[in-house]
Amino acid sequence: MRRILLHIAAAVVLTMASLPMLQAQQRTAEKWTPPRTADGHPDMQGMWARRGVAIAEANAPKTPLSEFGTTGQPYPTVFNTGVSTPQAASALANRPSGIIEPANRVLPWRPEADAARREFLSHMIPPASLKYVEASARCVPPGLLGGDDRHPYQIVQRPGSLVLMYEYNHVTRVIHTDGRPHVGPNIRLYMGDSIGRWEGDTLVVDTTNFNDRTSFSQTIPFHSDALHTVERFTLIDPYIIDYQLTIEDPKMFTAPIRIAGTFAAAAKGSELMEFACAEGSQTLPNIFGFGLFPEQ
Amino acid sequence: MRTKLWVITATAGLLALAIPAAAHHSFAAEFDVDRPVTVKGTVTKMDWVNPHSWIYVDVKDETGKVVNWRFEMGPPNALLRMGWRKDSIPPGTPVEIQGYRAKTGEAVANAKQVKLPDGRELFSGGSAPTLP
Amino acid sequence: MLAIHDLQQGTRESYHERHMKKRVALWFALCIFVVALPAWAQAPTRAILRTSDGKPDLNGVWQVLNAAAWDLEDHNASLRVPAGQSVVEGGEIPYQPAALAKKKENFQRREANDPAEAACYMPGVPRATYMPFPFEIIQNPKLITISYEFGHTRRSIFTDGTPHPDGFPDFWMGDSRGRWEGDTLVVDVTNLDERTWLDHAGNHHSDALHVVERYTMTDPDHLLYEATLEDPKVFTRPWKISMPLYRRMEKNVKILEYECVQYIQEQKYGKAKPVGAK
Repeated sequence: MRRILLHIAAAVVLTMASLPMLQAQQRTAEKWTPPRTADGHPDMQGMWARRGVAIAEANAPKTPLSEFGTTGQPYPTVFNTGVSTPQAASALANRPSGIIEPANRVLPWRPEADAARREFLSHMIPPASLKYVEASARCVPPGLLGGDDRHPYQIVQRPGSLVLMYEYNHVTRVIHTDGRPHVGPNIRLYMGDSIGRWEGDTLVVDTTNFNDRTSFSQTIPFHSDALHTVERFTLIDPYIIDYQLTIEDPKMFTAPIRIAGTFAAAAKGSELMEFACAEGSQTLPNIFGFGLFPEQ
Repeated sequence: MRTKLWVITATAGLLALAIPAAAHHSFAAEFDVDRPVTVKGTVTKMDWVNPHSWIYVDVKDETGKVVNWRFEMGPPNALLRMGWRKDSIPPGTPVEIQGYRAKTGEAVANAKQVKLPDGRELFSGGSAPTLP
Repeated sequence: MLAIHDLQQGTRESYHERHMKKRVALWFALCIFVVALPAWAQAPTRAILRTSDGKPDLNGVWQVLNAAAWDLEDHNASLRVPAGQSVVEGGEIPYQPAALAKKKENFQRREANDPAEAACYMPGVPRATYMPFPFEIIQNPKLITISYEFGHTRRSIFTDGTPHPDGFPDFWMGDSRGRWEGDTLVVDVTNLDERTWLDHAGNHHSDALHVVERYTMTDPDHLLYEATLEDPKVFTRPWKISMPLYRRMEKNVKILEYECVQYIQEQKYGKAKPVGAK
């Protein structure tokens, strides 16, 4: 009798032990595949919150620009909350973010570029002239590293293009995927000229034709017009788009820099709202002491 | 549904938010971190504009003269998403505001904290206030 | 008439028979002509493309070809301002007397006070449509987005059946809710900020402005744009504008940038010194 019971017990134990393996097999069999648009590409459409896209360099020079703290403002809390991402909350905690190459975040500066930006920073508080007012404060398009991520993004896809819309300052990037070339080299744009192509299920976006009027961060107040970026968007589950940004600016850096970020699904029911920037901005009148529009 | 939206937002809003330093404002150029102010007065108006909403407050100084202060706050979109509406803070609401004064020296400041007389903080949680 | 003698023996057509053949041939030709006439009378047309939900496909880059941006009504040319015929049905905008006086004042001070030209503020609706810059329509079943090159202005037209929200503030480009009436996109616009002008001539409105736009594709490369404006604080009755929108046909055309915020800031503050600067 005992032997039979032992056999039964062994069988039960073995079955229990192999359950996880069975479950794992089932999980790999159920690998998630993205929903697709009519032209067969992953459907990334919807409202998204962007996180992690920042270039926080190691050994950053001190600057009075950040006097008000990392978020740059003393606002009451509710103004500092981002667009909620309930489904992606725990996933976000484990996502790579910021500079991932170089791993030590010490940027490969050209010495003359590093010197030039430190010199520039020394004239920013108080700003010696209009040129030294932070680009991000002037309500011009923010370039690829700028943008206020307390505001959501929306992606719309159509045959031949993917459109990335920022709520912040109503910036719209139409990324053409129809095989067209970049615009000619003398056309210069704050947001550059973006051409996309699909590599499997990843959208690879090549952007050139930047002007030199945007900034990367509070310690990197400008870049050159030689800037060239490559972004990779991959929908890895229903709530997360993996985002990689590679920056090459041979006049500033001796090697490319790679940044990781995330677009996380925003709350259901949120929609783009107008964000009028220049219309309500009193930044320049506050700095210069005149110029509120209209003058009476 | 609007109510559902702000409930979700209020809880998820507690997520630590690492906003890239390149926000759209040059606070250090406009406001003086060495000149904090605290004023008590009554709301005359709230301007729901981007990129910053403004709250206007009539403040009586020591001589009894009334000065209308202008306080800059964040973008209203966050408030609208949480269910706040244009009439959420009616004129006449008494408030106490702490902030940093503009470098120009005018009665302009950047709001850090906005409190009602009963100690409740406006703009710190998610919900629109129920004012007496 | 004498019968024709057929030199070959056997067949001999009478006059009557030959005449009959001619008649039949003539009738036949006439019938073909009548049947073909409608096809000839119509200019050859291409069918308009449709989106996956069966609606006219408005995707693409569009622009007006008129002088409405400078003045909606009949006006003569002046330096850098082209002459134009009114796009207003009936010719004139029906102002209330006080509002007409305000318009004239605006006109006098337009170079300094036009919010779009002097400050690069978003032009509002319907002015954004007829600014002399292209715009792109980005169409999706639940949302139509219009991206305007002027100041990278943008508006969302929600076609998901939702109503205007209650208690929202005004927006420079208003709140737009659209629906299809047959093949016409009808857009209802409210919450328009009162500070926009309707053109550079100082035509204006109040916060009570309500605009209804209609976009009708008349052929694949042309839209008919109509907008009805009503504002009981400013006008004596609703009034209407209409104009064609032309598809920008160039290969690989795209919206570029017109960042007047930068140009105006440089003009205003380029040589100024900030408060407290050494």
